[in-house]
Amino acid sequence: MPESSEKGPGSTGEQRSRELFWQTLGRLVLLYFVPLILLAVFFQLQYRNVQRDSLRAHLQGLAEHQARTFDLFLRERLVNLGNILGDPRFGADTTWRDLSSFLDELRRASDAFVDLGVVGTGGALVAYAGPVRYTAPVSYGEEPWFRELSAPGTTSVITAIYLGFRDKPHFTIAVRRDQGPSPVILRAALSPERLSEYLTTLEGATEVKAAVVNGTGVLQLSASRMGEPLEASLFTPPATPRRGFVAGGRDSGRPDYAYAWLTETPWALVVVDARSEADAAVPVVLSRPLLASLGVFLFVGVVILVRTRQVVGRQLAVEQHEAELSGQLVHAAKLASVGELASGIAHEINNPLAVIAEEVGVLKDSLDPELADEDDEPVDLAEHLDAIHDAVFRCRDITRKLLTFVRHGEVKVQIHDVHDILDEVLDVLLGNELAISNVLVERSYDRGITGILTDRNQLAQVFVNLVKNALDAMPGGGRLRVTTHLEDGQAAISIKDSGCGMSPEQLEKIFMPFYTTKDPGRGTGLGLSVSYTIIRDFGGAFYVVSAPGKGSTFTVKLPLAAA
Amino acid sequence: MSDHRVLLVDDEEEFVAVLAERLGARGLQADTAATGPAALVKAGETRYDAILLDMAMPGMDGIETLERLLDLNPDLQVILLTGRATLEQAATAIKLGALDLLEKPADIDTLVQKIEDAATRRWSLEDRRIEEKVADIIRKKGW
Repeated sequence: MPESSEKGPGSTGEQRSRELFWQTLGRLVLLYFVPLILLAVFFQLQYRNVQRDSLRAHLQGLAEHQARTFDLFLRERLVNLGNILGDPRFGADTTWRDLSSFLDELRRASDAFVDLGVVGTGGALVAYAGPVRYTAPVSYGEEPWFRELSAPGTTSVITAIYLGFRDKPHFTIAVRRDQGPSPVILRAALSPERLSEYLTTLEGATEVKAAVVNGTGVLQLSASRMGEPLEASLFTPPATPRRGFVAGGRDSGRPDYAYAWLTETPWALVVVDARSEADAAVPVVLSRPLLASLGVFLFVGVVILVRTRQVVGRQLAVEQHEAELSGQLVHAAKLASVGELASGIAHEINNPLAVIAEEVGVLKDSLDPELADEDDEPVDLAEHLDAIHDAVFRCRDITRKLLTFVRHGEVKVQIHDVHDILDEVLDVLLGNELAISNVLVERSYDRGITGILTDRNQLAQVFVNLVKNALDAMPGGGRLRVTTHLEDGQAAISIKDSGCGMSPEQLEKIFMPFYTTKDPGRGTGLGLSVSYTIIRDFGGAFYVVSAPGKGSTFTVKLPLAAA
Repeated sequence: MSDHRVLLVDDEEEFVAVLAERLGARGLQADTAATGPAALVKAGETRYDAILLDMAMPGMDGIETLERLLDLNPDLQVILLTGRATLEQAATAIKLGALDLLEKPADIDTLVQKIEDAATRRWSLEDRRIEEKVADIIRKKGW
């Protein structure tokens, strides 16, 4: 239940401070962190894009570079072979033994050479040097590479990987030279292992995994665990463009790759980022922009904390100042309303004083021999003294009430009967004023309202303000209806006048301090604003309903004291 | 000692009763009325040398009663009595034609003196009216 003693400082002050702190903190965090998070996400995405683009360009560059180098390598091997054909020691009568010395030379140029053979007309192997021991005569007449090389204008050929007679994956490279009537063909096998090894020595080989595939996607060479030669490759690069980048995508289960087609053979060199798989395992949290964002968050967090403390401190100071001002305002308004009450009080006191004066006068007259008449009955002393006594106590009651009202003391919140306070205001403080103003007071009290927690003087001040306003609204007299009833578990006290009422423009301003419709010197414009403050401090509410010509109804709602 | 007749108008009945008693002891004949309307009735029936009128009364207040009384007879001499006299009220009352305004509680001798003044004024006003009337008749008759 609302505690009306919450006006005072103390534990509620700390609570207020804490509440304010969290409120401000929440607001600042929202204000600063939401855009910051959005920015961080944006930059993170941008960073990833840039990273991907640069990786893509890098991969593509590597693929092209490696393809060029590999092309060069293959061309060199053809040149090696061609050199033998041009060697003066080489002739049609070259024997097996002579050939092995040429093989040695070739292997000095590149250890990819496995063997060397001389192929005669019709494709028959006439001389051979190498590890294979042929038991039967060998003819390459039906081999695709032989037929390709036999075509006019073709002087060299490099085959795709195949098993051939030796039943081992290998490449064949062959060159032809038309010497005299019949062409001489020199062929050599290249070891896929050696070629694969060569791939691993190319530039950037540590960053990427490289493989060579042919146009139908059969793996020719593989540098590092990309599959075995002759297997179908994961990658089948498109024929055009001659070089490019293919995004893998999660569904295909295939990483991004770059490729470049070779010029010497219908093969493509494919490279895959060796780190891409490991990259995925690296937690996103550790990416640089995210770390930077975290840093910024921390910094902003500290700034927000410091700022919150400042704001809360300042706000509390302002609130305290406001409370002090409001306290001063309440007292000023009370004094002002005492001023307004003063003329009424003067009349109240002057009446019994006039009675006393006349009573004393009668007694004095009775002692005056000039005025005394022999026929007159003797003056009844007791009767006159009683009248004087009564008048003196009437005066004392009036001054006592006024002093109680004006006393600037501690606010004493107690359980009071709201009807007692209303009656005091209507009968004692403003009774005479109401009577001589021709205002008929109608009371309709709901006795079901038990006690309310309030300060008697402050609440009386509110009622005095309301009744005085009603009086001012009814200069020619009228009816004042004072009603109490229970509403939503609260005590509702309504004061309704039959006066001139207020326009909507006036209604808007009536709770503003120093707003008054009264003549200068008659109203301070503090009454309602202070009444509002008082009621709010008791956890109550203040309503007004009014229209021009229809009078005004002011309603005060106050929480009931716990039974 | 004068034998003027006065009307005391005040809602404070104890006050008017005692005041009437004291004025009676001073040879004045004092009637009382508790409200404005009652005062108007009495003033219509009886010739009063002075009327003592309370300013603050429920119903018809002093100012209104004063206006009505003077409407009834502009020669009436009204002395206002008030527990709270503001300059504004005094000015209004004098402007309307009140003879004077006394503050409560008023000294009895001052009050009696004011009543004497009022009676004198009343007589002189009536004398002047008679003179005017006579002069008027003389003029009309061409004497």
